[in-house]
Order: sequence, then C-alpha cells, then structure tokens
Amino acid sequence: MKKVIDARGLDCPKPVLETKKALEKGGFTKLEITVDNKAARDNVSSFLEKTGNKIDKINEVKGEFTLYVTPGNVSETAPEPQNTADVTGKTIFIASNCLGSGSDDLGAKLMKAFTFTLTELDNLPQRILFMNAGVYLCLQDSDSLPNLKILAERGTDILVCGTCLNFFGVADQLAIGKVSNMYDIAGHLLSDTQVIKI
Amino acid sequence: MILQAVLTFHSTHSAMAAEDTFKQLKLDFELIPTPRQISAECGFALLLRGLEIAEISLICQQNQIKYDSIYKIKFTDGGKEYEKSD
Repeated sequence: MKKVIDARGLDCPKPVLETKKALEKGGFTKLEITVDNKAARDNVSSFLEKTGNKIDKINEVKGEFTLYVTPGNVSETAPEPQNTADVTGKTIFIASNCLGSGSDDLGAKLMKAFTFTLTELDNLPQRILFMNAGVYLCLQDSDSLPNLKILAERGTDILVCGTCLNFFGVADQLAIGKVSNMYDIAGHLLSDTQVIKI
Repeated sequence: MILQAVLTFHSTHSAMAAEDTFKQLKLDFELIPTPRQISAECGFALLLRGLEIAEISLICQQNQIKYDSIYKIKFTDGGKEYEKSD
C-alpha cells in the first residue's frame, strides 16, 4: 500500500513532522512526499535517512520535489556518527552574528576571532547550530567562512536554520553547513551532551 | 609553509582600524585574538600571510597604521613560535 503526503505550502518544520507522523502510524509499504522547496527536501531527506528509511529516488518538477521512500524501522533518535577522535562532544548554539551585546561592530569581530580560535584549539566542537542572524556567518561573504570550513573538514557538524535563511532572503548564499529546521535543532539542544550558547 | 606574521596593537580600536585598512588593500590576513605566547592580555592582532616583515612595516607606515610589534611565526614540531622583530 502506498501513502502520499502533500507537504507543499507547509512551513518548516511541518513537512518533517508530517513525515514523522505518517511513519509512526505506519500501515504502508511505500511513501511519497511532495515538497515545494529545496530546504524542505533536504530536511525531509535527512530525517528519513537518520531514521533508517530508504529514499528510492527524488523527482523534481518545476521546483517541486517528490521523494519516493521505502520505510524502514522508525526510531525517534538515530545514533550519531562518530567523528574524529578530537571532537569534544560539545555543541555550540550561535543565535547572532555578534558575540555578546554592547557594540555590534566589536561583537562581529569577536565572533570572527572566536571562530578562528576554535580552529586553533585541540578540542573541536561536535556540532555548531546557527539560528537567527547567526546564519550570516555561514554565507559566501562571511569573514568566518574559512574558519567554519576548517572545522567542518575536521568533523564538526554544522547545521543552519532554514527558516532564518529564508527570512533574511539569503538561502542562495549559503556556503557551509546543512540546512536544518527547528525540529532538528531543538532535538540537538536537548539530546547533545553539552550545549554552549554564544 | 607560507610566510606568516602577527601584527599586534596597543588598543582594540587600533586593531579594528588596521583591519579595515588591510581589507581595503585586499591583503591576505585574519583578525585573531593575540596569541597567548605573545601576550596574556586580551586583545586583537592581525595574522598576515605572504608578506615579509619589511613589507608589513612599510604598509603600516604608508597607511598610518599604529601598531605595537610585528612577530614572525616560526613553525616548530606541533607548535608555533613567535619571533619579535626589531
């Protein structure tokens, strides 16, 4: 039996939630989910893969994507892949393009110096989550981009809020990280061993 | 290994002003916290790539950049050493 989800027009993270609900309910052998933007496609794909489902193919028609899925065993939390040995297990939550408040000019420079310093330290963060104006750090013209690339290459997982990219109209300028959603980000804030908010 | 040097300043404001100037000159550099080996105090410094000490000194002079010192970075086994230039 086939189940069809039309998630077009739904705001993030609803396409993921609808997919999760359907998988939990079960009662089908094939699942088709249609979304109308790339961020939703990536979020739903990432959720499906993490929860042990198989994406047979993804079709694109005029900017709309249909994911054809064979459901696997649904679990709430998938085990995280183990990264390189020097990753600390700490998660950094960055919700601004400035570090601290008082002077945005100084704050922007402190943030840049902070990301640089992370590349110099022996311990790497396991994950960095970017939200609100924090997403600006992940764009093509960001001063912190080279530092974030180094961290990503060494194994830090970088997640960027898709709603925020969309709000600022900068989704097409994203140069590092995976587009993510509130569902994933909130999940990491609660399940990661240690979260530090910057 | 590409030539690297650290330029330090007397104040945060001087470092930020120098950063703006270096940006305009389109030089290969990075605003960094002053390395602990140079100073234990908090402060910004500039990490410059591909420039000789004499060139850095000249650029600073030509652009009225007020700096404290220039350090040449020496890469050692697993670390860095900062050699102050006169």
